[in-house]
Order: sequence, then structure tokens, then C-alpha cells
Amino acid sequence: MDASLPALVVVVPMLAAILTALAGRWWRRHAWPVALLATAFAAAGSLRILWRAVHEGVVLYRMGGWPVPTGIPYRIDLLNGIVLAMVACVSFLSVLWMRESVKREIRQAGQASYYAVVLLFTTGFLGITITGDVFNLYVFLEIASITSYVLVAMGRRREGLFAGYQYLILGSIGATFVLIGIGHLYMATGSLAMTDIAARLSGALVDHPSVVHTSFAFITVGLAIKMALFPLHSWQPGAYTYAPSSASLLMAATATKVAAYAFYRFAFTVFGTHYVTARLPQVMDGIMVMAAAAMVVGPLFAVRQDNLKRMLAYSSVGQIGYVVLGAALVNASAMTGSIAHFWNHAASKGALFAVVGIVVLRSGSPHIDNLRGLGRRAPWTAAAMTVAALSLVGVPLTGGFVTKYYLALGTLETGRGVLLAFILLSSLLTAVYMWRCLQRVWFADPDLEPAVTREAPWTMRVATLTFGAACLVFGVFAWIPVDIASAAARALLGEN
Amino acid sequence: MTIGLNAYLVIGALLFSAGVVAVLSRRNAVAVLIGIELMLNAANVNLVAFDRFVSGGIGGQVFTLFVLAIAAAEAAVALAIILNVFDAHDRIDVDRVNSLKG
Repeated sequence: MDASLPALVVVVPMLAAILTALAGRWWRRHAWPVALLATAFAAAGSLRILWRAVHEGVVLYRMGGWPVPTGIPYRIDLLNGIVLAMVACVSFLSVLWMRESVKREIRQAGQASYYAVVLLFTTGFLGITITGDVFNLYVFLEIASITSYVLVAMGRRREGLFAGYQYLILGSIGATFVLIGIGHLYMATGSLAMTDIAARLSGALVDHPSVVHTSFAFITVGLAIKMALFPLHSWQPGAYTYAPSSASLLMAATATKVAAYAFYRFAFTVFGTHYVTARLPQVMDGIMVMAAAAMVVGPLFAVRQDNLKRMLAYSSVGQIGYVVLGAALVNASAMTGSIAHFWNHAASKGALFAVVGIVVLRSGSPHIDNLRGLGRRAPWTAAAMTVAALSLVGVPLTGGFVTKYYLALGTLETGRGVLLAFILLSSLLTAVYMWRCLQRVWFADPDLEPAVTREAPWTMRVATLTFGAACLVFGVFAWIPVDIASAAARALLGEN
Repeated sequence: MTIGLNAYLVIGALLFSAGVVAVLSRRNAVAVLIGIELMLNAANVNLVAFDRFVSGGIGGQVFTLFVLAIAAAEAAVALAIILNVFDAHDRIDVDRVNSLKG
């Protein structure tokens, strides 16, 4: 069981998806428990795999026992161990959270299929993370993307359809770019296993340098669309705003960060640190500019939004900048901050979208004024929101501070101190829009009747509080994420 | 004259460009979708050509089959969305889709 855990973590949610889709027609009420069990298994399994990766370095699983260049390997080192645990735990908490929300927002006949799509979505992102084969990565990327289009389009309001369609067009273009890049990589090296490509790349760079460059360009642009890196983020605010609350929660906490992980994987494992620093440093400089711009532009748009979902969506545009900046700086400290941010952002954005979902469930709309009086009527929910907001801003003793500390360290070590200004400005703007929320939560006029009159159902409360508690745990016991993240960063950069 | 790798790559590039033009210029949602499919097929032509002329295995052709299946799934989702939009509005004009996005 332990040996085949990497395969089971992906296969169990996939089989559960088929089960919910089929059985859900007749036993509709069983769809949620099946989804919950499958994601719980994935979460426990991925934590176990991360544990093994911490102790053994690399966990390798060969599909069907085939040797590596022929068969598909599942290869988990610290970097994807972190992302795998993030995706699986977020999926489990989201499914735990979503029961009441789905009852409210999805029409009854569609509920079982909704859970099936959620499970396939989880399968897709787990697969992207765990696989060590580039074509397999593309297939999982498409599974994850197609299911996210469906999730967005299942929103009850008709804007969800338009947002889903726009996401589909841009997402498909991004996936096509990735596919063309992988095709060129296959041409240049004749292999698809990541470690095998990496070993053959130096030879390929002598024989067909332009093919390798073309491949890197296509893959980078394709993944930049998928991770909604400014200025390619236009699909994201609409998708997060009009998707059902449960889908927004699931997508905001996982989707774009997994694409960012794929970029880390391609840049540092497949193409290699030497390639991105010595052969094409301009690309990383360009990505650094885009990440820095995203860090400021995202919050700048977020400040002006009255729709909470749209505000958080623009906030994610900014936060992905933090995740990418560490890669662009190619520095161990900065990368430690960015890799730790996979967890920190999942915890804070998960908590915030969970709270917004509760507001939508109880008051019917995600307008910012519906937060008024939340602190009086739903203190637990409000507390989770406060902690998550502080983490997003980067207050000490929360996870967000750890990220920003290591990123700032990295900018100074690489002599790019000007980026510090971007980090500070971004934090300041984040504080502005989060204050707009917290002010309504805690300091609203007591004469006004609160829009949310009672606490959330217990499933929602447990999940929301877990997200909120994670923001604190990653800040107070910062050595847990930082030790793993810095080992992952040093392994990626080949320093030990 | 033998037809070499370049000829196929040129075809792929032309298909890809045609797809990009369709996505950028057409107003009809179905035409935009066809543009996307053209881009995917350009990638397929590349894969098969690389496979035939460079690597010599059958890997690239197998991948093309996978990509075709994925493209079909994508088209199914896209058409389902378009049909739902059509039910609500009796038209599938991309401009109107955007104007309603706000």
C-alpha cells in the first residue's frame, strides 16, 4: 500500500468521480460523503508521501513497473511534495466546506455531477503535481482545465456561462502553447520523462538550440496564461467572481499555484538552472518584471472592488506574483519564500473565500457591505477572516510574513533592492483593501442590522477555522514550512 | 523533390496562424472555438511530423490520439456552454458576451 501510494492518491479521486457520477443519479445524497472520503484519502496519502520525501529525498513510482524513459514515472521530491499536500488538503477542506453551499447554489439534478467534476478537478491538479512525465503533465493539465471551465459555467447566474466561455478560450490557448512547447522538447531530446530530458538537454542545445529556445518560450507563455500572471490574467477575475462559491474556493486556493509549480518544474528541473541563468537570462528578467508588476497591479484593482469575490480574485493576481518572483530571482532565499507561499497563500485565500462563501450563503450576495456586523453575529467566521487578512498583508506571526521576509532577503542578496519597494507597496495596498473588509466586520455602525444573522453550519465552520488556523501555524511554527521549502529550493538550484 | 520536415512545419505554422486569426477576429463563438481547434491541430501536425522525421518512434502519433480525445472533450464543454448561452439569449455573439461581463 505504502509503495503504490503515489498512484492511489491520483486514482482514488478519479474512481470516486466516476462513482459519484453514476451512483449519484439514484443516491444523490451519497455524493458528498463519497467525495469527502476520496479527498480525505488523497490528503492523508499526500501528507504521508511528503513525509517520505522529507526523509528519503525522492519518492519514485513507476507506472506498471516500466523503466523510466519508456513508462510514466511518478516522481515526488520536496517541491511537488509541498504542492501535492497543498492541493490534496485544500480539496479535502473545500469538499468538507461545500455541502451547504452546493445545496444552495447548484440545482438539485446537477449536484451529484457537480461533486464528480470537483473530484476530477482534484485528480487533474494532483496529477499535474505528481507526474514526472511532460506529456502526462499536459494531459492532466487539460483534465484540470476542462473541469475548471465546467465548474465556472455551473454558476447559477448566466454571467457564469460567459465567464466560463472566456476562461475556456484563454485556457485552451494556454494549453495549446504548452503542448506545442512539449512537442518541440520531444523533437529536440526524443524523450518525455523530465529527468531524462534534463540529461539529454545539453546535447540537444548543441544540435538544435533554436528548437529548445522555442520550446521554452511556448511553455513559459502557456503556463503564464494558466497561472494568470499579469498581463495575461484577464480570464481570472470573471471566472472567480461568477463561479459557484465552492468552485471559487477550490480554484482560488489551488489552480493558479499549480500552474506556477509547473513553471518551476520546467524551468529548474527540465530545462535546468544553468539554462535559465546562463543561456536565457532575459526570460527570467522579463518574468521578474511581470511578477513585480502583478504584485502591485493586482491589489491596485482589488482596492476598488465592492464585490468581495472580484476583490479576492484581483488579490490572487497579486499573490501569484510572490510565487513567481522567487523563481525569477533564481536565489535560494527568495525561492524559499515563494515555495512557502504555496502553503501560506492556500491557507489565507482558502479562509477568505470560505468566509465570502458563508456570507453568500447567509445573505445572498458577495457585496462588501454584507460583511457589516459579521463580528457580532458570527464571531468564529469573523476571526478566521481576520487572521487570513493579516496573513495576506504579511503581519508578523502569520504565514504571509514568512514569505515576504524570505523574498525580501532574496531581493537584497541578488542586488535587486528596488523590488523591496514593490513588496512594500503591494503589502500596503493589500492592507488597504483588507481594512475595507475588516472595518465592516468589526466596526460597523451597531444600529445597522447585520446582513449575516447567524453562524455558518458546522461543516463550513470547521473548514474555515482550519484554513484560518493554518495561517497562524505557518507563521508561529514557521520552521515547518521554511525548513521544507528551503531544502526544496536548494535541491532545485543544485546547492546543498 | 522530396517533401521534408520543413513542409510539414510550414503547414503547421499556417494552421496555427489561421487559428489565431479566427480567435482574434471572429465574432461568432463557434468560429472562435474552431480557431482554437485549428491551433490544437497545428500542434498535432507538428507532433506527427517530428515523430516521422526526427525521433523515429511512434510516440508522437500516440500523443496525437490523446490530444484528439482531449480536444473533443474541450469542444463538448465549449458547445454545451454556447448552447446554454444561446438558450438564454438567442444569439452567440462574443461581443455581447463581453459587454455583459462588466
